[in-house]
Amino acid sequence: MADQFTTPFYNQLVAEFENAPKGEETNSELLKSREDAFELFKAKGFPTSKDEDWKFTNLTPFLTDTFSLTTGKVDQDQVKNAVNAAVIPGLDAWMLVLLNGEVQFDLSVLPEADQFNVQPLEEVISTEVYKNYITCKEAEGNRMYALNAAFFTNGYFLEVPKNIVVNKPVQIIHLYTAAENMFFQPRHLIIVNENAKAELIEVSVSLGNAQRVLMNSVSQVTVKENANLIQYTIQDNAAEDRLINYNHVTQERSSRYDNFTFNLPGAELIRNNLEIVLNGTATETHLLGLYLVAGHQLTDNHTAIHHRFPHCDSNEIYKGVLLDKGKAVFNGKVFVERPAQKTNAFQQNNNLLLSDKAQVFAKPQLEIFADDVKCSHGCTVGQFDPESLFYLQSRGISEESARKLLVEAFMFDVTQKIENEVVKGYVQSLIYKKMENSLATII
Amino acid sequence: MEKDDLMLEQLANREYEFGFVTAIDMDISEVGLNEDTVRFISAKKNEPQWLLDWRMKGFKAFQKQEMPHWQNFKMPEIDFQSISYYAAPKQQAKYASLDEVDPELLRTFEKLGIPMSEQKQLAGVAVDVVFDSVSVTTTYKKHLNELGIIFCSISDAVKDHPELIQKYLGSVVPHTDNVFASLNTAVFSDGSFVYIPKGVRCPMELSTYFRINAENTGQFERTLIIADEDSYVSYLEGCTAPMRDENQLHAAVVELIAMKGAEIKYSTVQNWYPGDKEGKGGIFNFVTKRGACRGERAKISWTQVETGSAITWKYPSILLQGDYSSGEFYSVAVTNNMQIADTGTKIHHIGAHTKSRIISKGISAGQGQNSYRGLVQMGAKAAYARNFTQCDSLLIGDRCGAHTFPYIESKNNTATIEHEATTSKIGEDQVFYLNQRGIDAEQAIALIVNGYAKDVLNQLPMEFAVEAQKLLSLTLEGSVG
Repeated sequence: MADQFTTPFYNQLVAEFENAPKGEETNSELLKSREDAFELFKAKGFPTSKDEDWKFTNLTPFLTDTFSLTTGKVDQDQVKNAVNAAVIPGLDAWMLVLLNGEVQFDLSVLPEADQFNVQPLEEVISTEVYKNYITCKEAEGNRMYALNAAFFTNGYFLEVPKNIVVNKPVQIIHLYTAAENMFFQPRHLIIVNENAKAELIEVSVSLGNAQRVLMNSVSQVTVKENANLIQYTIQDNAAEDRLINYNHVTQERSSRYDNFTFNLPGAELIRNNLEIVLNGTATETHLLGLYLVAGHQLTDNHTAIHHRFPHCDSNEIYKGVLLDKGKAVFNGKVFVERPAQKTNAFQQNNNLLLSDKAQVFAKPQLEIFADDVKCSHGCTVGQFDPESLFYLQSRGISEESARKLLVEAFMFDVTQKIENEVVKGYVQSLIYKKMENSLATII
Repeated sequence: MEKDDLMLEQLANREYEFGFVTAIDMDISEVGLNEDTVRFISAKKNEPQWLLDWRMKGFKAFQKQEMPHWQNFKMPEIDFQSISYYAAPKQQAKYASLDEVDPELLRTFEKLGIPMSEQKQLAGVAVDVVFDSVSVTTTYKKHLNELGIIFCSISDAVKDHPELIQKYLGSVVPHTDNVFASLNTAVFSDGSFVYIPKGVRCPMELSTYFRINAENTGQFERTLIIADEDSYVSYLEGCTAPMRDENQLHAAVVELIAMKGAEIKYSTVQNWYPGDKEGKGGIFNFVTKRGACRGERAKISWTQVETGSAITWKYPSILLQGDYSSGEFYSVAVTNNMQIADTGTKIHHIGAHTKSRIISKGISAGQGQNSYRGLVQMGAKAAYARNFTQCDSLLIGDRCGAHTFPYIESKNNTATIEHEATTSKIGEDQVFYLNQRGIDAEQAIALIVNGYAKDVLNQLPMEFAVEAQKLLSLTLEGSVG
């Protein structure tokens, strides 16, 4: 425990906060929440493997470098190229570009405010709108959340007005670049109002300047009554990146929320926390994840669903393919509280280990306090089914093609759920491209 | 609904039928825990120096450790200084036959239904009875001796077979393992010892009955079972305790060692006093159980039916060290009223081609909380290892809880792990169907619960299966309409 307090990075963060000019913040509530959050971080430091939620994900090696907290100069041409490369080909969509957490209106393509409204978060945090989002009950005690709460300055705010079905999907490109090692802590807020519907495709990319980027981002999402939100997260970062995300979703009555998470080989650390709070009855939630882990990557997905009202359905499928020396962690929590009768909660986690150096740590977790519920989870870790392989070979398919086919079939459960054909095609092609090299070596 | 409530009430009001106290002269050590307590116990039992040294090591380890905080219940404050660590029936003379045993004691066992009388011996069960802390009698010794099987109390084994004890005691559960194992190492009073020689198939079930009788005592027995190459043994353990308002601590350690080709089957029917319906009193059942499959093709199987105790907290584990070795864990845990169970298993696949199977059935009623916590770990050398886990929970009433915390870890790509868990309540349609066939609601529920737990009950030896089925039906009698 002691060593984490003496790391230069911890000391740097503490000094940074304590020396920051205090008068700047006009919102006293926000100021207090920042101070409380900072106190927690200061007292407990970074999470260690002694914390149950970080048992298999040791942050220490990722925090030894020095990181700067202020952005330096950015090469605009390089940014433009990167944005162009990140655009999903053939997708007719609105576009929101963020550079190092900062909204870039000149690079974005956004509609009139009657479709949806986008503002930089810093313009919103002092207004009435933000009031409900200053504190976050489920994140209490989460030190990475606290660190973000203490320091965040930028991010985006996106609000879909009542009764609006956004006419096109919205692609959000998170671009990170740095001339030196950087630590970013953006914060985003998404509100989908009553009876509205939106589809957000968040793509996270980096310029790969061989500088280390450590990111600790927080998103807060509210899906109001009868609203519908589909959120994709595609993490396609360079090897120097370390991503820590906390995504907090609140669902009101009769709403539906779909989350697709795709972790691709690249970033040496990916840690996603997805927390869903069901704040009304008759909601529907679908969480789908696919993690491809290669190289020395560590990919960690923590999900939690809080069932608090009756008649809610949740469905979760996370699948992982592990290559090389990849290490994957999956933790899926489902809480069913006493009032949440007639809950249906389903969870599935499958892991395919394609390399003898790969490791997987899974912990599906159910905590149930109501009796009239149907909850189940399943979890598997293993290899190809030799009989399936044999079957395909007996039909004249070469072993190599058969293996490829089986990997595809394995991922099919997740990819087939993508309703948007263009996005589906894009994700599939990304996966194939990423897997080709690794697969070639083992098949 | 009214009917439900009535039945729930009946269930809640059911009394613990083994809650009698036996009036026997007891030899009890003073309360408190310090080095002298450890020396006192050791001296009382005329133990050799090496055993005392080991106890001391355990005591030192105990002092260094903190109470765990990761469990899924609020840890009760245990004052280790208010417990008496040694209680024994006073008549210490060895009994040549059952006639010489204190008749009061025999009546206790009769009430418990332990097959100790001559006719019952014909049933073919050899029993070692541990009363509070001391092993009272071991039946059927002679017949076992002829086969070379050693079945005696652990204190006798220390005297008669020190080489085996020195070699194996603490080799599976080291004295530093956890805070309760360390405490047990320091103050264990007695327990059973079994050694099955090479190639011998133990012809009968071996059985131990544990009972806590005295007030303010903890029970710290230690069981060591060694199955040498190609041998087989089936071992049964049962437990009861009188009703007391205070909580009592039971912190046992069980070590199993299976050599090449050997098989150990360990069955427990645990029915300690669970406390009253407000959660007052009852046993804290904090037990460390672990088995090691040391050789090729060794097999260890744990079967447990947990119906008693205020808090049951144990994870019978298996180390699959030998190639092709296999482990099984079958568990039914029932919690009613304020009972808590945090149980499961840990299976470490170390050798290649190792196999394991986990079937866990939790039943929660009243305000009972039932947790399954399990670990399945595939080591880097566990090529082609295989695990299947199924843990189901049944909820009866809306104030109970069921929780699962499975840890699944794999470092080998040829290993296969499957895990599945479900939670549900007894289906109204199932009950309706049985009603329709002329079976009343109570019987229907007993049928459904027994059917639900069948996979586990089937693993129990005959005598225990009958007892366990009765216990289950009794505990859950008519709890849902």
